Amino acid sequence: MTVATQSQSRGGGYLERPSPSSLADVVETILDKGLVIDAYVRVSLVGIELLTIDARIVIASVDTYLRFAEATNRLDLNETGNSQGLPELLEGMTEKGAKGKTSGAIEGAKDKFEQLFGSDSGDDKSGNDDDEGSGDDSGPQQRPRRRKRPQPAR
Amino acid sequence: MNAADGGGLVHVYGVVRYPADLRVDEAGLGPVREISHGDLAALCSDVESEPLGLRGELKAHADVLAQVCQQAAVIPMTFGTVLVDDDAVRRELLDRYAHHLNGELDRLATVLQFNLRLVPDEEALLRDVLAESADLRTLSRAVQGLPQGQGQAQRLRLGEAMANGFRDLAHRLGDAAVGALSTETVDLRVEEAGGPEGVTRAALLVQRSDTTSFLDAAGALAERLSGRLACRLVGPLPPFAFVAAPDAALASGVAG
Repeated sequence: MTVATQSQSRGGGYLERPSPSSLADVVETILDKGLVIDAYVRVSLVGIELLTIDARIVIASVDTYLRFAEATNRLDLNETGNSQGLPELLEGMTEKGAKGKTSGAIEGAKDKFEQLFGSDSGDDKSGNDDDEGSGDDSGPQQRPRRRKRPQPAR
Repeated sequence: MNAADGGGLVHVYGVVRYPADLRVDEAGLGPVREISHGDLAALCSDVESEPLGLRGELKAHADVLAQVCQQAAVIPMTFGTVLVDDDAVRRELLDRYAHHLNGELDRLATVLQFNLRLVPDEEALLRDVLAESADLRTLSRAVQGLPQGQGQAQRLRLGEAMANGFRDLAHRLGDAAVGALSTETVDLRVEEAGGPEGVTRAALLVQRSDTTSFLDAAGALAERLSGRLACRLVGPLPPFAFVAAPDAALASGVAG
């Protein structure tokens, strides 16, 4: 409780910390999680499967492409947006972050950022960069490498 | 206690060390009580009958555990763990899995879980995608100049490239964001990375004593990402995603 209250002020209001958490949060948190034992009675979970069905857009469809094309057309290309530039943002997070314990996906991403931005030689505290999780075929996190050089907007 | 010997069933939330000085105000599925055996105790409620699985029941399970984990290390049971009576809880859970439960309680004694969810702002990311690619800017201008209903192929090409670019960028940002927090965690599990809508979800395991600095780091990260990714953090929770499954031989050795 103390923790939750304290943290509301932390993060300057950018970090959303729902309390109490919503049903969706709960489902994500506990469904198929926790210790499973072979109990004598295991209750059938009526209705739960309904909660997990979420109507997500399948991205590889014509409709989706048209929707994205439209969304792109609505953008005003001359408006630069007022947020921090993307390269600086990515670089900042990678610098600050973690060379320690990461998943394969994150290691992959990090490599990419180092290709893009050059790696800082002064690697930080944890010397074990290439240990866990970077096992090559560690599943769905791996993506084809697609790398675009950041280009200055015209 | 009411149903304890009247053929009622017992729902188990999780297992703690016994004795534990716990205060549980959450309603749960009924009054929450301890069933102890040796130096372990199961947190339980009597339930009338199966089936279980209403939304309120799912939430009650999570709420009780969320409250308990702030007071003591707890190994959360999967929702729907119900045994026939108190004796079955002692015999089939606390006694049979004593070794595993003790090991997990030791291993997870000082940690809490937080769930991070990062949801991209589509417009902001599309803007970034365009900013990164001169080719796409050119294509976009060309498509904008087309009269309605024409150039369907070009439209699709633009849409496909933008959709892929959006997902790719959401994935990169999500990875970098989770990576940035990983110095504050003892373990983490990426549960979804750049999903269909670019959502990234991760379960983060944090030392109790580091909670404050973790929350500071998460807050700073959220501020950095604002405008591009909305950050949502649920917790503290018991280590739902990090509990190890018991030995398969043990689990399958039902009939004694």
